[in-house]
Amino acid sequence: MTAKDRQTAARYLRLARASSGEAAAEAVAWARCARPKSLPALRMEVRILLQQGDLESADTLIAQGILIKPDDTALNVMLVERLLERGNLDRAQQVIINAVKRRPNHRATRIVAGKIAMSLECMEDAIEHFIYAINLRPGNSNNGWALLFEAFLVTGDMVHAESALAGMNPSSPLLQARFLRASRQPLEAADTLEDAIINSTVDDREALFNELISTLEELSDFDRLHSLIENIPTGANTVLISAGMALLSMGEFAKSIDVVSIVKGAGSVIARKAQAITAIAENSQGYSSEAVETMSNMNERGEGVEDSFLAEIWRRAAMGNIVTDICGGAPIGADSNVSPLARLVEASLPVFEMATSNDPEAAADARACRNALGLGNFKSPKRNHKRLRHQRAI
Amino acid sequence: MGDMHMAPTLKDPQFLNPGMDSNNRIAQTIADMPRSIHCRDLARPLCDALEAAIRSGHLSRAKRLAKSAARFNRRGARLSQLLAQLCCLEGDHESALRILDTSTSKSASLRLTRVKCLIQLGRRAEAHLELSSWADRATSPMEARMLCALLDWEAGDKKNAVESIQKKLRQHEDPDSLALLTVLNILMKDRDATSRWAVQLFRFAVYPTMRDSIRLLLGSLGLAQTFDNPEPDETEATDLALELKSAQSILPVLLRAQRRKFDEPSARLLMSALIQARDQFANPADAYSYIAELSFRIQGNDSAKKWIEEGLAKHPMSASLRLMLDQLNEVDVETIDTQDQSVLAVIGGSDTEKPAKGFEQVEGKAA
Repeated sequence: MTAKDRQTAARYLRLARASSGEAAAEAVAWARCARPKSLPALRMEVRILLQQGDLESADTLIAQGILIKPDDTALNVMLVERLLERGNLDRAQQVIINAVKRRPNHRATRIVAGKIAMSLECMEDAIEHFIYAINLRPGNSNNGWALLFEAFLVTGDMVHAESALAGMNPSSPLLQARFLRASRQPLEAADTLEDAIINSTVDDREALFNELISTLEELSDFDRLHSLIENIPTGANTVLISAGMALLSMGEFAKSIDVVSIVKGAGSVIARKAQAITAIAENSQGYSSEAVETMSNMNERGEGVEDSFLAEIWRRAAMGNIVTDICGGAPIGADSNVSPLARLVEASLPVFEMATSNDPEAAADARACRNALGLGNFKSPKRNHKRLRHQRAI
Repeated sequence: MGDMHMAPTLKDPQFLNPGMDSNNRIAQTIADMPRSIHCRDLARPLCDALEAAIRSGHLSRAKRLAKSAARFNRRGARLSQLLAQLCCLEGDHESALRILDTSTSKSASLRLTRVKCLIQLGRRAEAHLELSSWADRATSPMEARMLCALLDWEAGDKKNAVESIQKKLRQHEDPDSLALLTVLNILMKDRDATSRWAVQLFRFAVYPTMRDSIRLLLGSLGLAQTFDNPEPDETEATDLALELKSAQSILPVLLRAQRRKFDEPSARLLMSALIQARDQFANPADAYSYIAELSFRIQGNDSAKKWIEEGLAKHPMSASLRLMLDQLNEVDVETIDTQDQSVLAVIGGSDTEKPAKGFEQVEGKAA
């Protein structure tokens, strides 16, 4: 590698730092062409890939970087953050302990160590790490104060949480709203968030929307929630997912499908989450075979979609099904008659109903099934209510 | 009381106007009555009509009937429930709650509908409190317990949610509870318990109405690869056998459904139940012919013959079994396709079946 290569790489890296989006990605790619083993360029590329949601490529690159320099603190922190996201807490803890030992005064390492301690519910350790990180750079530690606030909130220490909130400069309306919610003032929290959304920048808008959705859910203020959903900014994928989930709990499955269908970024984790919501909402509407197909489109189980997320969608769908199905509902979506015979008869009914209208034998058998199920001359009540809900949603 | 005895009933010819449909007639009858009349006779047909209108989604008709119901001074549990249901369907949960609160009855279904209204109105804590006080009782509806568990889960008390669902399972094993337990245990990272509940849940996949939902749930949680084809469960088959003994008339319908659209897991369950109950049927020879028919589809010619022979050993005078055996002996074993509907009609030998192509072929061969 010549000095000219180094100079070229440094120039492109400067260019990458000065730009954003595709331009930054292109500049960093040139920098890495000129100097493939440049760690600053590699770190920059990892950050860009993470921003773009290309987690697999980011993971590969982190591994490559660690092979080049195993004790690179920044790369180790990135690795730990990815392990944390994937839920691999043991490995994350192992890596971070070594990183803290190597560089105890590295701010990012302390912050990540605190996050891991929080995930492991060791709140005292987490608070210690966050305070250490804040003291390393007292004037510029909003992230540290925010995390410290979260840690105090989890422990229920509202006095210290308020102090941490006061330490932030500029103050965060998002955290203020969280504080209000934790202080049992959700209505005030919702108002704060609504005001903040009006004055927000593009960067923090999604977080504010998400917080407002969960606050309105807590308040069960469905009218306000509906009008908020109507005003979700385009491209706010995480907000669309939150809205889709909120609609599931309200039993508005058709609308939930409509909302998450706007999510962009095919193949990304967020798109897989949208597909999971669609599949479970379809199942709740009684279209289980379509739901299986939707789910198989995301390869049975979307890589990167956490179990906790899937469990939460199932819970919400179950709740939505029970609450809105006033004639008795099946939470998971299957029509679950209590007796085996009724289940078999129920399964036979569509077989006869599918037969042509000029098939009197099928009609007689369908009638016999309906009578056995106590349905008289109309179809399953559950299906009718679902159809009604669907029509109303349209 | 005197008024009540004189009250017109729906059976009175004066109200039977052939130009009106039955719901209009009921509404008209009630509208024509003096306001003072508390007509017990009319409550039931009104409830029936209202229920039918709600279930079939005819909300305008249901509303018309509900207006008529306003004339009743005292509302029973069923009428209150139906009126509240109608309000809920129209999205007016507050009115529904008012109806339920003023009802003289406090049945479990009324309480459950009330809880649902509270949740819809955002009074979750109140709903949770109400459910916690009675969902644990053995008499409470299953849905109430499920809802209570879901609210526990939402409040972060997963352990309590698991316990209350498990308690419910001791009384009655249903797929919804098993599904929730599977999801909850995934969340609590208890892999052993997850697979245990998933296995139990998968037993219900023998029913075609549930199969896709169960596959979807297990697939979404990454558990689908553990399961292949659903096998009938012994307990489920025993329960089905008990039910079939008292509902033999539905059996030919179930068989005809299998002839139209064969579904192996449910056919296996049905066959397993029939085998258990075969000697307790009013006409045991019929049971053997049904078993033979299902066995032919599932296991093939030899198995069907075995069942027919066993049936004939016990009931040698059964013409239908004898005919089936003859037909089976005539069928070319090499070329037979057990999934071919025409062949099934031959084996089934049902009187209601049209002579199928296969039947004619066999007849031709026999000749």
